[in-house]
Amino acid sequence: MASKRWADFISLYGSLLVVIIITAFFCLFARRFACWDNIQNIMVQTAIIGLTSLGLVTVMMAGEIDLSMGGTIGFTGALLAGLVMQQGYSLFSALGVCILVGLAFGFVSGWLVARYGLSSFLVSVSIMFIAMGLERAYTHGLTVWIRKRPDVLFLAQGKIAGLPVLMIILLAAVVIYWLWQTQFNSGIYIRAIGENIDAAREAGIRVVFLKTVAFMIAGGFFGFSGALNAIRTSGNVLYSGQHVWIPVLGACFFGATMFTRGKPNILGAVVGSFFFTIILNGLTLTHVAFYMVPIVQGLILIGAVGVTAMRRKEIEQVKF
Amino acid sequence: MNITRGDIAVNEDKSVGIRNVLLRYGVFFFFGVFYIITGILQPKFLTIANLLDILEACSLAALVSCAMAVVVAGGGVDVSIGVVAGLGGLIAGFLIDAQWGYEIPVFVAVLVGLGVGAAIGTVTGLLVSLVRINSFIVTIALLFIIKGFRYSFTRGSSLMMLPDSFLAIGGGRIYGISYLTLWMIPIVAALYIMMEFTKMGRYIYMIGGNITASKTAGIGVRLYTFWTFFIAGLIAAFSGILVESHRGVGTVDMADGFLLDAFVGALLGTILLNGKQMVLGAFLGAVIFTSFINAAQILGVGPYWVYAIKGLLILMAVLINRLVSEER
Repeated sequence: MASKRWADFISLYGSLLVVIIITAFFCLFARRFACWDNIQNIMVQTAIIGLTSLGLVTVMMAGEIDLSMGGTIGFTGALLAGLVMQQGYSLFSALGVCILVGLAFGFVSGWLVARYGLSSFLVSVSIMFIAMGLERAYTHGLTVWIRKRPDVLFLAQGKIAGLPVLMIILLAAVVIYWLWQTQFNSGIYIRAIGENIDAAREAGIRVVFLKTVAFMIAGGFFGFSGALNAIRTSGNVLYSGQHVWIPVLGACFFGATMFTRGKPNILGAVVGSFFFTIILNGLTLTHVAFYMVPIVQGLILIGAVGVTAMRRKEIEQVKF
Repeated sequence: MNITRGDIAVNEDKSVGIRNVLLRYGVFFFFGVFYIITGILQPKFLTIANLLDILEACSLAALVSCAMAVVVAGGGVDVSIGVVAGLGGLIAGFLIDAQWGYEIPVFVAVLVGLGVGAAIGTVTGLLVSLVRINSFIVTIALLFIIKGFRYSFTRGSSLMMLPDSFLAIGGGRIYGISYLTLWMIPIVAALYIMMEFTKMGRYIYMIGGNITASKTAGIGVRLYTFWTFFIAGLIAAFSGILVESHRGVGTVDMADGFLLDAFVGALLGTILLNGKQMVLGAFLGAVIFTSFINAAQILGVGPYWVYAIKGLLILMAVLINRLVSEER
């Protein structure tokens, strides 16, 4: 009996324990890991992945998947850099355009998936390709730099009251998103759709509408974090979305292993994104070779998901 | 899969009629029209030389697409296919590149490269079938690990001094036919025969269609799921070796684009043939998307739209397939 309870505990909080142990390890052995400057650093480094994960986890909670960020982040990044540098847009109108583009992509994939029952995997992969093509067509394969626009660069590189703006944006987004998910009907309904779509439909939830909304929220987040990504790196390098794609998927799947039995959840996604950055940051501070970072991240992901999968009776297949 | 093989097999009615034929083969009809129109607009498109070029350009994509199709047929997905290809090629090249001085016989090095692919396929297969982790997540984790590991031995430098005997594997032509095509055709044919005419292929399809029923029927679900990943790893590594010898240089990220190509080919193929004859579908998918890109370039669309064409192709195929199945 006791061993069963112990197994329950491990499967719910095992990966959180790993997060805590490794973070504690870095605190003890990585010089200057636990100081305030570095904590701000970690927050800033997490911002892009964290915001994108919030978007992805919305769709995952609705029982679908959205891989389109691999393209949309690059496209909106290029768009922001182009609008600001070549068309002379102000910061907020350029940001608005980026978020609108993200919402539009989200609407297309959401509508196709929710209304016509197309596979979200297929639709979002094709949206990713289309966005990558648009990015390349827009920039003609060139890197668009953001220079001499302190107002724009301030958003991702500046500080308000001693705190980095990116850190404030990330924390505010997490809090607002958390409130929406737990306090508003629409947030709860989206999770209900992911749990059991037929039951949700029977209960009178507008399944098609809310699924589309979930995809649009994801698209909006992707658009926003794509813009921030370009600002943070002072420009958009071709296919920058591809570099966010994999860590975000890793963080969300890692996050799904904690707090719930293998279900995507917000808190998990946030902890997962922070953890992946902490590994990067901590290993860099302990002078481990750079290529060890993805190796460690991958091994931890496999370990965490493997422990969750042990209770499963059958091979899990991919539905797409 | 949402593109349910089971449903379609049941719904298929055998009545003949121009309307039914059009509906059933609507996608093919569409692509046939495309070939003819492009041929009329630009006569160069349908010359033998250009068609051979298309075959060469699609060879590696067809290989990885067919490998992906085997995995997809068994109800899995392999996201690590591109980096496995790169790693297999990189390790084989590392052992024979004059700059590093290992000077191992080319034959042995190629075997080692294939062995790396098979080993990674084994790991994936075991994690999916024994530990029962979702294959999408397993392969994403492997993608992380390999992306790190491949920097550990060459430190990211390119392999520029590969011996000529290695370059001869993929870098030549006979009667205008590229060696890549000559390697691709027998492998794809072997995969096709395996999937369509052997017990193994039949079981893989059954597992992908309904795993619970397959288990009840006494099929070794774990064993055959394992084999799909093993085969994919092996073929991925071989295509990595081919791309390296074709280009004459090995870089760490030389095969990263294979993942996207494999996605496009396998997904397009699944939709084209309604999830039947997946290997043939993946091959056709690779041929079709390569010809679209080729046609776009011949018609002067410009290289910037390559990715958008791939995306639009999948989306269009999904939509047409959906419309057709609604009509039925």
